[in-house]
Amino acid sequence: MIPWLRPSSAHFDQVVRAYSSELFQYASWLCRDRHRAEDVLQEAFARAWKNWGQVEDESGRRSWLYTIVRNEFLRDTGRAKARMEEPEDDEPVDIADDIDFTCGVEIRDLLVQLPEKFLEPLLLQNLMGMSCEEIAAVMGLSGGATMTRLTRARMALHQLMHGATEPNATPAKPALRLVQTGGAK
Amino acid sequence: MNAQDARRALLADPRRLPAELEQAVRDDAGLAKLRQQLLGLDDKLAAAFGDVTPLPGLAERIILRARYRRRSVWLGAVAASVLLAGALSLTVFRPEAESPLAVAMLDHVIVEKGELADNGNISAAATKVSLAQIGVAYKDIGYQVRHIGECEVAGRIGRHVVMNTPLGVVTFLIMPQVKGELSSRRVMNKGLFQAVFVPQKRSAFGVIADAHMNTKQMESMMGQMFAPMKDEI
Repeated sequence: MIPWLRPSSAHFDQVVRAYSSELFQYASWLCRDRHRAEDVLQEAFARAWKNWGQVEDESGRRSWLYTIVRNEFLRDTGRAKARMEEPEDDEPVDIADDIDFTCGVEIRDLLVQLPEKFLEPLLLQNLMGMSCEEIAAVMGLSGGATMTRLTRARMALHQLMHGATEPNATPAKPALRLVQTGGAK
Repeated sequence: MNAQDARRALLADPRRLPAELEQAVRDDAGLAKLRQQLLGLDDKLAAAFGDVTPLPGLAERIILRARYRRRSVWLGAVAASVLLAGALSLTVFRPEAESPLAVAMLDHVIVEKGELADNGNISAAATKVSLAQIGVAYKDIGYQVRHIGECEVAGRIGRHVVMNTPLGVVTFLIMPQVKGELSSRRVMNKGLFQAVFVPQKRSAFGVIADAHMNTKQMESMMGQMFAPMKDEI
C-alpha cells in the first residue's frame, strides 16, 4: 500500500474500541472458549487492518468485521472449506398452529446444546440486532435460506425446551459452560 | 399470506414485521400470542448471549497486536537485521535480552516520582476493585497501600500500586502485554532502583524498589499479593 494512502491508525483504534466487546461476545459463543475467542479476535483485527481500505462505506464496517471474525473462526477450526460446501437449507418448515414457546427452563442450558449452525444466526439477530439481510451477508447465505435457518433455529430451541431431540440437527458439541468472569470476585 | 407462512415468518424474525405480516398478526389472536411468546424468548436469548464480558484491556491488546503486525510488514527486513545484530551483541555481552516493555516499566517508575507520594491508607477493597478491572486478583497481606492509579506505559494502560512494606516503599506495575513481549523473568537495575519483571499469560507484573533490596524477597512479595484472575470459559 502506498504510504500516503494508508488508513488512519486513529480510525482503526476507534473502531476497535467501539466493536471489540460485541465481537468478543460473538467469538466467545462461536468458539465456546474465552482464550480462543480472544486469539481469533486479535487475528481477525490484524487481518482487518491489512484490508482496511476495502470498506468504502463506513456503514458496512460492522458487518465486514463480523464476516472477518467468522472467517477467522472457521480458519482456526480448519473448517473454512467444509463450511463453504455446506448446502443451504431452504426447505419450508411445518409449524403447528398451537406451538408454545413459553420457556420455563434456563435458556443458557439450551443454548449450549444448540447446534452451531442454529446458534449463530440467533446470536447475530438477538445480541447484535442484525436483520435477516445483514445475517445473510455475514454468513454468506441467501435471504431465504437465512430466514429458514432462523425458523429452524427457533424450532430446535422449542424441541430442546420440551426435551426432544431435533431430528435433522447435527449432534451438539459437549455442553461447555460459559463462565462469567472479569469482575471482582 | 396464510397462517403457516405467517408462523414461519414470525419464527424467522418476530421483531421486524413486513406490513402484510403485521396485518396478519393484528387479525389473528393466535399469531399475536405466538409473537408475544417469541419476543419473550428473544429477550431471554439476548440476556444469555450478552452475559459474556471480555477481560479488561481487550481493545488495547488488539491494537497492540495489530501495531506489531503493521511494523513487521513495513520494517521486516530492517527489524530482522537489527534483531540479528542485537542477538549477536547480547550473546556476547549479556546473559539475557532486554524486554522493551520491562525497560519502559522501570523508566516509568523512575520518571513518575509523583506516584511515590503517600496518599494515605487506601483500603484493600478499593485496591481489589481497581486491580480486578484489569483482570488481576489482589490478596491483602497487611501492607499499607499508599497509592494506586492507572498509568500509561508503552501505549497501554495498567495499574501502578505503591505500598509501605517491611522492606520499605515498593512499587508494583501491572501492564497488559502481547504474548512474547516479556517472555521470561527479568531482573534489572537502573540508577538507585532495581526491578523484577515476571510474565503472566496476558500481562507483565513488575516490582520495583530501592537498589539495596533483595530481589527474591521483592518477587516473593509480589507473588503473595497479585495473581491473574482465572478466566476460563
